[in-house]
Amino acid sequence: MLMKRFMNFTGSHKTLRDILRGVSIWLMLTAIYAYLLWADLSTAPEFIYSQF
Amino acid sequence: MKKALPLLTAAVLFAGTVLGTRLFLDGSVRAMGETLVYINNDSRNFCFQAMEEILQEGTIPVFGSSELSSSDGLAYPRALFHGGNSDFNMIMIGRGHTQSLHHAVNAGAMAELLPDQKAVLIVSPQWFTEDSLTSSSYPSRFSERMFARFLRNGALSRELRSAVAQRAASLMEQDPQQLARLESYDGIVLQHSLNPVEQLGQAAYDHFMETKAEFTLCWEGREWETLFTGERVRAEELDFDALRAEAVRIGEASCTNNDFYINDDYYTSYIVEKLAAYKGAGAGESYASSPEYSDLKTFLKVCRETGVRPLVVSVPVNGWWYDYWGFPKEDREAYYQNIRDICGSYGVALADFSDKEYEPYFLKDIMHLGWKGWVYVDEAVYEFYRQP
Repeated sequence: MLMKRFMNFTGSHKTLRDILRGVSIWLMLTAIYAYLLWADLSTAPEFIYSQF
Repeated sequence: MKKALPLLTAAVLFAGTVLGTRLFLDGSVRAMGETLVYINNDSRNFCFQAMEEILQEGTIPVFGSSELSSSDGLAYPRALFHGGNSDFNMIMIGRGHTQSLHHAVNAGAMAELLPDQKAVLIVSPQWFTEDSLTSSSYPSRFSERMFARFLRNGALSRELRSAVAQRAASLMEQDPQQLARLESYDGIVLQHSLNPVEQLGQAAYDHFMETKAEFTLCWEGREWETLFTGERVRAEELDFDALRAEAVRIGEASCTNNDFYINDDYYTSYIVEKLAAYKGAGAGESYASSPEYSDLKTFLKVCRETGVRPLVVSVPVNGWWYDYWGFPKEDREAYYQNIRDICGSYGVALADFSDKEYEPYFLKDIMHLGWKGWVYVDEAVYEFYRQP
């Protein structure tokens, strides 16, 4: 019920809807950014070092 | 305008996220402070902001390779200087297969950070084989962050930066993606591309990768604790003669199962089962001709152009082992003389330990600094540090 009222409210306020779209895009970009910070992006070949 | 509102909203929020993340990580790296002094690994060494934090007054960078992992409880720097609880600390940078070329880049990237504009390079004879660095060993130890900083150091001549870039590219055959990025740096940084999109893209990429280096360090180090031990060390009060005597005592207790003054565990792990096969097998080996000599000169050129004064430390081989292995003594002597000649021609300080091939416990195995060797090296580095 609350969600429906929220959707009706945002639907009738274009600017707010656009801002919420922007927030959605921001969240997606942030998720990608967080993934790239976390991921191992190294392309170097594995190299086994020998003590001898 | 209204149609652009979603993208504008996202852009503003994302820019704030990126900058806020960077600020947070900058603060986190600074807060790690003393825990980083004697952490010697890629996540620290590849993070410029971490090096900026620890290369403070009372420190000197020590570039080297696998001997920097050859720890003991006596004079290995982390032990001697109580994990950083000291008025003098040797910031060890490097691991197995990081050699002159890596450290030429490091020195060029970090030149502005170096206290008193001094640095130490521990040179190992084993770097100077005919192959030296290979296209598999070099990329595995390569720091793109430090390389980018090196290329952007305007104090270095374009000729030198270009020569290093070409040498690095020649060793990137097994990492074609990294090679492509090196070529991109060459075009944008060295060739001064006027394409604003390329310049902006490169700046954004560099910013992201430095943020990533900080994140990696903070994540890996989240459970690190300070390595401080004991009372604060006053380096001028260290008794190196007493330390040498103690090193002999420890060495005698650690090297009991062979005639090469190699520590027992190493001998058991790597040598004893193949001992007969090793006899004379090194007769065809040589350190006389190697690309590493050119790389060493590159390191010294970088120092000269940035005003960094280096101390080169020449480490000997294990004379007993190398005689058994059959590596010609004349070739070893020629190598040591080559190092002396290069240092002389560049007018740089040299701590020459080539006369220690047969000094027990200078090394702990066939090549790595041992209990007595670290005493000698620490003493030489501290004396170099104290010179005006």
